[in-house]
Amino acid sequence: MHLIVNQVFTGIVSGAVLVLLALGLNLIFGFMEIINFSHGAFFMLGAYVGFYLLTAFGSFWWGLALVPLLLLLLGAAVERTLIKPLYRRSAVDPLLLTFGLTYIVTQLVEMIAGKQGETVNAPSQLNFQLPLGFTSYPAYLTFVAVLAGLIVLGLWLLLERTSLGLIIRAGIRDSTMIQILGIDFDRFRVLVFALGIALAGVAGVLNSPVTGVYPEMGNDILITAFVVVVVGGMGSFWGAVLSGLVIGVLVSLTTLFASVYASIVPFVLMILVMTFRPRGLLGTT
Amino acid sequence: MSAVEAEPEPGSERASGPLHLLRLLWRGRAWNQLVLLLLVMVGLFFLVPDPSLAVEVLIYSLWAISLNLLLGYGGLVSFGHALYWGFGGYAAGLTLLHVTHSLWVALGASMALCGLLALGSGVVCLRRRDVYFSMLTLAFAQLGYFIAFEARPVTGGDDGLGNIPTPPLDLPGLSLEMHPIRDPLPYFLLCAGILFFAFAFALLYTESPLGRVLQAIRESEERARGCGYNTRLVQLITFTVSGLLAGLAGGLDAIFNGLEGLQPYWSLSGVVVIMVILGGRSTLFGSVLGALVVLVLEHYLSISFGDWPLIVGAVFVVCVLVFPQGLWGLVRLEPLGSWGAVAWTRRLRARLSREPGA
Repeated sequence: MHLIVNQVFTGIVSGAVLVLLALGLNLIFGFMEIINFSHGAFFMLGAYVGFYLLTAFGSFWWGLALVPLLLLLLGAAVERTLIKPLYRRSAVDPLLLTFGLTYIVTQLVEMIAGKQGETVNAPSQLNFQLPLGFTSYPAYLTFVAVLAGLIVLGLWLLLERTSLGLIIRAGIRDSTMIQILGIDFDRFRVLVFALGIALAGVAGVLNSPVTGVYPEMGNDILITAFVVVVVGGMGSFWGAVLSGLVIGVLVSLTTLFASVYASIVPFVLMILVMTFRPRGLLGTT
Repeated sequence: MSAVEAEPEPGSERASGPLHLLRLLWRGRAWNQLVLLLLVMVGLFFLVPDPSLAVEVLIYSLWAISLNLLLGYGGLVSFGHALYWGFGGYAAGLTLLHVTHSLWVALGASMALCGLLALGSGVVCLRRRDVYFSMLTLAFAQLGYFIAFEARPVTGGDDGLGNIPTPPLDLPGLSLEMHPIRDPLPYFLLCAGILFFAFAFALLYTESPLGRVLQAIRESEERARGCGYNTRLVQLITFTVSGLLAGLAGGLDAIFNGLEGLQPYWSLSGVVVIMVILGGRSTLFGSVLGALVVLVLEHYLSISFGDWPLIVGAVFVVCVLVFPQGLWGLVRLEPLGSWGAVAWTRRLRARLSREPGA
């Protein structure tokens, strides 16, 4: 029984990381109609930057605080230099371009940091077991789930309660119309792209004590994040949250009972959803 | 790419029959490409010092052509083409290891398995369009990868399926022992022959009424559907044909190496996408060019610079940004006489002077 409860918690934690990635992908896709293939590469980059900040300052919290800011700037720079020239091209070209970017970023990190990867220690303040009545759970993992929940909540408030969010939501619904209304669409594209990249970076830092950092980490998780987006329904905020958690818990439980099938579960789920409900769990179109 | 010509209905008298297809092929510029392919093969034969590189170029060309049918002509960017390549290799390898010692049966098994696999996955993937389609193909490829990884008793897992015996080359009235490493010539000729016929088939396919409808769907699916075509069916047929050809290429590769290795299918699929885009997606010959350029780059860069994918990635990004039509888009044949370097440099200069994306 404990084992099952523990596995469910572990599933929620890995699901929370997936949710952060999927929300970034979803936001960028909804607003800019771009699938960001390099999302996983930025996840990995965030984890590495966090790791280097940890070794430089000796504290995990510096990494967690600075990585989003650094990746926000990097995301804006990438958008201006690489994505902007593709605005009027077909939706496939940005996909191809960001795929090439993944190649470059992964290779650069391999060149600089080596292929073998590093382990990252959880911050010492959270290095204990949290008692939960009949079972206990690592405090760091609980922290990951709580912080991810707060970020999701903050993002939702940003989208629903601020004028910035209003513009983003309007842009997702009809980008031509908000341009006609005289809104400088370009500036918001940079912002949304950078925001998505920053989310990926935070997810990378949060995940680094769990799996360590290694150059391939982004590619492994990116495909699952794609599956989460498709299963939840492209562009659906709560769909991504729901399917991220469901997939996280399902994978975690399959690992316990039939570990051979664990890596296949998300894809089977996706094929089922595509067959019986092509618009995704909470998708609208 | 010129606008799609109005073709007669597929069922009508004029459009049917292989003669009509041949006439279409003759009228179009497609024959040039077949001649160019032969030139490349002769060039590979005489100019490439490493015979295994020459054979790999032929096999990857076949794979790239199969993807180009989908990507260039159908506008369907598949990021999962390694699935058919890999499983084609397993089918050929397992057939040779456990069933028979016939080359043709092994390659037939590759094509049959991958055709079926593509048909099944195509039904699901083609439920969505554009980038959704790309993500679905990617997910299918990863699914196949994990299945191959876990089915260690059958596929050898991540050690790969090794010790695949090389079958003799059985032709009517002739049986040749083949040794890909010691004497690659027969295998080179075999691959060249298969590539030639596959290329001709792909040309016929794209010039056929079915292929024209496929291109019409790429330009505007709604309009094609409005004309009464079953767009899903056309795409599904193309997806199946494409998977089948990719399986053939994978089978040839596994037999050549005596090994079907396992690496993440997303990155393997990426390699062939890079080849198609870099070479130029608007013609089939572009894919051959892309395979040639990428493999030759890889061969010579990997000797001097361990992180050669960095350079390939950078070239690819520049290509998507500045030359979306790829290398072949720069040198594409005009109907008459612009073979010359003059037209080529003029086009290059025009490209470079224009603000990208403007």
